[in-house]
Amino acid sequence: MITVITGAANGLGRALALASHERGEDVLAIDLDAQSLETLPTKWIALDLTSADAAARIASESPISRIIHSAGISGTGPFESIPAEHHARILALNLEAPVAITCALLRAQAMAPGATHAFVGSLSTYTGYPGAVSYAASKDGLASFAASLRKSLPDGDHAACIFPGPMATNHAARYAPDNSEKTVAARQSTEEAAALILKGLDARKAVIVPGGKARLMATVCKLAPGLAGRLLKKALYEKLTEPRL
Amino acid sequence: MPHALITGASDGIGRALVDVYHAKEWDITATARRPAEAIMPELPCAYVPLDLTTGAESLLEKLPPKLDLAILNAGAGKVAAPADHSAEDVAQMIALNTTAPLLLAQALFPRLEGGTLAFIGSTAARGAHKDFSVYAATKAALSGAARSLALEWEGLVKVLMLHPGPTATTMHDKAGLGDIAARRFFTPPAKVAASLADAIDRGKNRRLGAAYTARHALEGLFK
Repeated sequence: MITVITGAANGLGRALALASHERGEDVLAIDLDAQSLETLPTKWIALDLTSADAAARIASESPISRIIHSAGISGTGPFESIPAEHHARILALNLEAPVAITCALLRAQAMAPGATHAFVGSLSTYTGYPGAVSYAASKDGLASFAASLRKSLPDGDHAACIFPGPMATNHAARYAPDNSEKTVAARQSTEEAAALILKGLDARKAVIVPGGKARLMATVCKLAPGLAGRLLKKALYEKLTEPRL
Repeated sequence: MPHALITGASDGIGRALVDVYHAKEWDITATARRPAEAIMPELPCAYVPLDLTTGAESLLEKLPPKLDLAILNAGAGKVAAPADHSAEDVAQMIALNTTAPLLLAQALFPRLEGGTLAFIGSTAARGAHKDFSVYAATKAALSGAARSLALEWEGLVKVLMLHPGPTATTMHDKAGLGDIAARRFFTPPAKVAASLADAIDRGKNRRLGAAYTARHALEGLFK
């Protein structure tokens, strides 16, 4: 029985891989970045998730008791200023790869009975994300897929979508506006988020919003999505002077 | 005359939208994959045969420098359990339903300033759908993009998200939906197109939910 975690070289994926390993799970960490994977105490493979053989490589490690699709990239800036190829890359890695891999794993019967499919979405599902149009698109698509998948799995199997709020990761720093290092550093740590996520998955929750701050943001956004979107536009979009890929 | 671009115009809702804007005497450029001679009855407007998943250069060349309206309607579905979607199915649906309209919207941006961009989604973009999980995800993704883009382009381009419900088009045959009884109650494309055009006129998002479908089904029964 193995736990597969994609995007495990850095950030939230890495924290999830480490936390799962510490609990005694047999973890297979997947990422493109072999150098960072090497420093993990778990089994790993360097793999481009958008490649044609990615699903087969993962399926060969069956039976899989849990897979967490955490790999993702973003691109922030005015929609029209981000190169078309980059928009396409975001949708390919963040949406197409996890959906295609899920379908293939089910077809190959690579999942153990009672297995969990977990997808990392975004809190932006509750509000929109001016400045990251294709990222928001990919994450909303994943949330929808997770909900549909949950309905179609055999009894006992589980599908969940995780909606993390802002975290202190290199990923976040990379896509944030200039001079926001302090704000990024003050965010939730990936270790804290990972622990809450695993707890939610163990409890077989369908929707996991890790942490009080993220849950508060989700609630505010649900109550006043228009206002939340405008605030986000001011706080983020209007400060993004040039695209960040 | 104002000029509209309509994608997926060979059939179904797209074709009905061409008729709506033709009746309003708009200039229209229509596009779809099939060759012009295969569209019956003939379209009453300019037509560019094109697979939007391979790029839109040949279409952009033929468009005027200013567009008043672009309706990005082209889409396809598949009715099957997740395990019965091949990698190719997933790739094609995301390419056609999500990536292509987003990249076309980006390419149209300079032409659309002051105009309206309308994405055609689906009521399936909301909720959970075990028989068309991938299709629903592509439309949810498009919807998420539209919502964010509407905020970005506020004051520049009016971005609308329009969600038709079950409509009596050939999409369901192509998607592999059987000849189920419920299809008798699907709304005719002309009605759906008229409602979507009305939403565009008003500059409002619209979702033709279950109540809308039921009302038209009842109207059909009592006719």
